[in-house]
Amino acid sequence: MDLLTNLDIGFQAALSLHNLTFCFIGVLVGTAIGMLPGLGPLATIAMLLPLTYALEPVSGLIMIAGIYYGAQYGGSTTAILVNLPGESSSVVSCLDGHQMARKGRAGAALAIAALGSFFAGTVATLLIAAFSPVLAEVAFLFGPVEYFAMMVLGLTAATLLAHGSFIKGVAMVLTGLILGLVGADVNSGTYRFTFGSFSLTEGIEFVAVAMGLFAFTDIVSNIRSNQSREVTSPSLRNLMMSAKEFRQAVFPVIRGTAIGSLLGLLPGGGAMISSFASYAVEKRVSKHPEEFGQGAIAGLAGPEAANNAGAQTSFIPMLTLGIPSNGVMALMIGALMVHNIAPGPFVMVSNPEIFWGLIASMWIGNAMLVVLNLPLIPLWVRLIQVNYWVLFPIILVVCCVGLFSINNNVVPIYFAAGFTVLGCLFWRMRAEAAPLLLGFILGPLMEEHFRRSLLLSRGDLSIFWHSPLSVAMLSIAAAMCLVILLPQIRKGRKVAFEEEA
Amino acid sequence: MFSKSSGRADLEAGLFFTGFGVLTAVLSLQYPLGTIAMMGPGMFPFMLGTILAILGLVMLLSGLSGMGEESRSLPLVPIILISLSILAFAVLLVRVGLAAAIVAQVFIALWASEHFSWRRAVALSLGLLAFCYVVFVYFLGISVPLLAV
Amino acid sequence: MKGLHRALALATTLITISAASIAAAAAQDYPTGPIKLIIPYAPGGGTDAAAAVFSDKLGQILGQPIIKENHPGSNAVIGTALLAEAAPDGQTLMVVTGAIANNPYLYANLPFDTEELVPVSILTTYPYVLAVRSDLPFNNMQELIDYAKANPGVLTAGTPGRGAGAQLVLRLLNERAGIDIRDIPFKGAGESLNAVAGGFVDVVFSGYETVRPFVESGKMKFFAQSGTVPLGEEQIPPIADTLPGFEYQNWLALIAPPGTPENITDKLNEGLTAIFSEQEVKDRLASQNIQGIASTAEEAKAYLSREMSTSRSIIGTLGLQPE
Repeated sequence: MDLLTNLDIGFQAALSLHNLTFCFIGVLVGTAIGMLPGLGPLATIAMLLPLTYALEPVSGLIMIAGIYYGAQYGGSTTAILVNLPGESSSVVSCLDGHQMARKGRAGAALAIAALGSFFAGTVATLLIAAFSPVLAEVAFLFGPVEYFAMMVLGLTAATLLAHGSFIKGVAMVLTGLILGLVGADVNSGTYRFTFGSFSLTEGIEFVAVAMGLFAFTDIVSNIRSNQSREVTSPSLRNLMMSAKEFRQAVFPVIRGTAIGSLLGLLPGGGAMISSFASYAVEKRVSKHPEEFGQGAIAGLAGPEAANNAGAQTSFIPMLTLGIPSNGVMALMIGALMVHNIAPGPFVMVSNPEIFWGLIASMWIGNAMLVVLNLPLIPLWVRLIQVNYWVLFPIILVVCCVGLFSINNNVVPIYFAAGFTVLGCLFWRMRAEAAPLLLGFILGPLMEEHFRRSLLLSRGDLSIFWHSPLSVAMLSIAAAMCLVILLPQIRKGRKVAFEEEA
Repeated sequence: MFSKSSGRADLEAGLFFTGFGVLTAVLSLQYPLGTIAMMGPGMFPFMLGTILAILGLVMLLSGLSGMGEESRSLPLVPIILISLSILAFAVLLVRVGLAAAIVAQVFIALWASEHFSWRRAVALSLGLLAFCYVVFVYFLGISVPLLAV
Repeated sequence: MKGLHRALALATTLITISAASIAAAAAQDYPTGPIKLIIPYAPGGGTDAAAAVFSDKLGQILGQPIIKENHPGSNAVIGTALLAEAAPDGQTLMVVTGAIANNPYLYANLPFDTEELVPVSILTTYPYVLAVRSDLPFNNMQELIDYAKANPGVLTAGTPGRGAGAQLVLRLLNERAGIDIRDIPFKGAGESLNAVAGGFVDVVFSGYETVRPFVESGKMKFFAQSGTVPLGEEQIPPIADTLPGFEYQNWLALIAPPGTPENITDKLNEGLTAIFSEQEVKDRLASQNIQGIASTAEEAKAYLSREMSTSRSIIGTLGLQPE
């Protein structure tokens, strides 16, 4: 079997003491920096990339892969512990992960995130090794029409994130879409809703929105009610997950891995949507959907696995076609080019030790992450048992410095302040912030693909039901709406009848 | 603060979303709308704003009919103080420097909690100052002056 | 509290390990820290590829890492505006394409004055390759033009948005050949290439190196380019063979904020000249069918103003107005 020989080449390249050391350093540094708010995997790699140039190609790539997974896990850690989504994919980890932490299950939440990610990473690595060339083609099935349908589906799923009313979820998605449109329009170059301010031409900073709506709003609502934050006192038994929790996590992790592996193949937001999609699926199949948002294990395990699997399979279009599906992949291409390797269909043939070495290093990076982080969990858990009056000023200050560091500019800090007030209003109105955030990310993409589709069809709306893929996705979205709406309408009627009686 | 009556949350949400939707739709009229085949930059936001306004009205109606959700009570003082602490940080960071920004933020924010004491505020400020300086300024090389001027 | 202190101490130690090596590079007068290189396009375009050729080597020569930042949007206007705002200390630089010479004639109210920017050096010039999806029934320029004439408005072209060189060259082709290939704007060259490879759009103008992987995997074919002589190993014929006089060259330049002093541009120029004379770099550029040029700052300035007048006349012929 070719696969085994190939993996053998890869592991021989990657498994030297030298390379393992670099992998370790990468994971360590990645985790540490990823935990700081505002610095996601992209910023971390961009910052540390030059360090790897001096290394030989395989070591350099292994270190980058380590930083990548480390930073991502670091991001989930802050999301779970202090409800602070540093990047789009950890928004979902906040929802149930943070609730688990509040219920004294922070250790279990972190362990599930680590092990779920590791499992997903292992499967995705095998997929990449075995099917890269075939899977790469998936990206080409998606044109503007299909992307638009996928966005509609993703956003419909996002309204499921809310455990309040459906209509508020939709309204929040729309609000997010609108906020996401601020800035330069792709098609015409017009600046929209910038009110003459040039700093808005690149749009509102995502991190500022996420911090304001999640972390800061959380602080405001918790600051006076210390009892709600009280964390169950730690005992060693509490730190690790129980057998029951493990069992509850197994199927969500498997489903999440499947969703993430598939969506990760799509350039332009696939990997990002996968965690949201997984959450929606878990909530739908769960026997206890009411637990979601209250610390449901499936609500953390699925998305974490999906997120990691998606992050990993997004390597496929990059490695086999030279197409970067996100910023990190673009940096990876840059790193390959430094070593005179042009990504494309022939890397596998021309530089097998690098191609397979990189694939092996993905798995090693994931394994290293688990080895490194499981023992550290007790330490992180103790972090949130610190008195809240100590914790919240730390969150505030570190977030603000992080916001400044994005562009060396204070404008994002002002926006975070504004979104804090808005977040509090939403909290009062019982409107969930998560759908807004997804709308915010997808807004510009959705508009782009919508307009492009109609430009291609010359205004003929039927283009959306000429593509089978698009029809399938739009039908699922419509079905999802019906499933949610019908019981609500029925319930509404019942209430109305009762009142009449 | 506000009296709780049935449907308050939907009433407020309805007002907010209707307002925001109408505002968006009106503002997007300043950009060319174009046609369906060749959409201008104003078309998509106009559509979104209109739909949002309609949804807002539906919410408003359900709020008025008393079928909506209860609103949560909003702790006014912490909102003001926390936002103020963030704004103070931003203003002081460029005017005076990181040291002043951190101290001001810690003091204002801590004031919002019931656990305020001068000793705690000073200790936290100093600790955070050291941490931010070492991590962000020294190691990550973010160009922010400890003390401007 | 104790746990917290330990956590903080740990985080600090971890970061120490990584950052110590960055700090190790002792700062001389210039550069005093890592240099920020603005790429005004989405990741994955041809600019990234070309910038990669020199940026790391330049960083090594200068003793400071060069960190690339993608700031896409509005045909490089957003990136350029960021550059124009930056301090003129050489710590912020930008790689621009020919787009910068088009923008003054396409965008009203630019937040900067293009003439005030300080060009450091022209880096490369290269023609656009016309790539078409491989299942289209034509195999040379004449056949494409005939097809387009017989089926007006049917063919579509992916472009990286308003004012990009790849869009102007398409307009130019439409005008000279009297055909109508419809312009479908994308966010950057990378996305437009994917759309052609997926069969959603028909043709695309892009740099040779960005098209090559798709041709190798059989998704696209190329049979024409916008230069004046046959290109590369494949000897891709120029469009000028079919439409005499047709030419459009794109170029990349390294550019600094307004007011950057000469000693800084000189130092950068020295480094670039050394890099472009290396055989390895020459080979690498040649394999991408790019001509590498390290010019002096004066030459670069003259080049830019010459290009601006060319752009103005092309945009004038096409009848486009600043918006």
